[in-house]
Amino acid sequence: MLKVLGVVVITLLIIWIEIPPMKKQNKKKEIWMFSIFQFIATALLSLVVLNVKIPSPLELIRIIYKPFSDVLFSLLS
Amino acid sequence: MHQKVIISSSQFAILVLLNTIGTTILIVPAGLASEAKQDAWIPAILGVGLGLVVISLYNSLGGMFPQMTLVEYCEKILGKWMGITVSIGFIFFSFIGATTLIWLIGNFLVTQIMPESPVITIHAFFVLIVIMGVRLGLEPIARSAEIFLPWVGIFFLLLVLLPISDSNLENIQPMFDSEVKPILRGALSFLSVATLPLIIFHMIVPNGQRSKDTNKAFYLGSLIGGVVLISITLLTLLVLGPGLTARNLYPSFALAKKVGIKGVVERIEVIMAILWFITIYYKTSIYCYASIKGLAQLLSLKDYRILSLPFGMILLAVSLIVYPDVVYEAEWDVKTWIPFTATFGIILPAFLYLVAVIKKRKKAKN
Repeated sequence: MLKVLGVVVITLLIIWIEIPPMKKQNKKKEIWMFSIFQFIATALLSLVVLNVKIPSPLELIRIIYKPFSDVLFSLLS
Repeated sequence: MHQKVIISSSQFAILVLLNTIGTTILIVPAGLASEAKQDAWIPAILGVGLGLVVISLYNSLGGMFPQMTLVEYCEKILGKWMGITVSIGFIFFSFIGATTLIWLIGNFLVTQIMPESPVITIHAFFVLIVIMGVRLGLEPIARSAEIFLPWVGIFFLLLVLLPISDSNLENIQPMFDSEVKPILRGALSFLSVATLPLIIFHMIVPNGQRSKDTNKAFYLGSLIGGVVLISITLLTLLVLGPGLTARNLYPSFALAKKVGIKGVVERIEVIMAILWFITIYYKTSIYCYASIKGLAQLLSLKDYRILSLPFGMILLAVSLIVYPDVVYEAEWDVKTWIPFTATFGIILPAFLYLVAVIKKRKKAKN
């Protein structure tokens, strides 16, 4: 839990750095985009520090490219 | 809609050079030696040659849209939705590149230099300085690269000159004994690490317009980087021999451990590590810059910087889970990374170029 607290503290720090200048200039779209990304980031990092098993994006790429890679390496071996 | 990036063509060449050397210097000799044994230097030379051909494709593609970044010309060539899909692919590609590099540096430090540090702190500090650089912008990154270049040069010369007396010509004999296929495999793996990721440099438009000078800088940076890589490969072969080079996870680091002048200069392997940290820092920064800038352009945000901090956190999270272990990494880097980079480094640019040429001809006819 301590680690998640760390993630939350970092998140608050980032929000404290980024939001006020955007608010001042009234950039609604920017604030939205930033918030969406920050939400994904906080959720993802919390899950990772809690050791929740998240599938690596590489696994997805590996499955997509398996047929190509099999053909390529059978041609070259 | 985007601010001009003001970097000189020599700075551009330096960034290309550092990107070419990047990870390649530490891992490529092992891959080449396991494919082509004592002839591992042949695929390196072939790889550099083919790399220049690939760069000429990038230059002619970039020359058709001299004022646009990769994301912008994708949309221009393929139309809105196809263009966005392809752009997301490129952004994903550079994001994956950045995460795997951070994993590599964490793994290297934990296995070779600081075995007791928790890997998350290494990743976090590395992500922190990368994001710091990206927030400052490309100009400071390029200027700092200029400052570090002489150090890279000095360390590289030390690394090349010191072990020459330990080299043994028998290690690369019999010469030209390999068959064609292992050489091709080696050249392909060389290309996939050293040259093909350079497509992300099209996210940078120096001085608002790509010129002849930038094209020259692109060739020059990649050629000098190639020469550095050929000499490191040859040297690890000459000193360590093909067997040890292939079996070692980081052969050039092992090389640096071995060399020195007895009692005067010893244990210079950290020099190798510093050389690698500098180059990999720039490689990761460019990957990061490309993906953040690409995202911002895709979402039509004026300033890419607001995405940089959350993006850094996502980068940190994914870099911790990206490879489950070294065995997976070794397999993935060969079996999947090669077709993956080939898609984004050759096939898509060639396709984009073709479509752009056809469109231009049609326009000329009408």
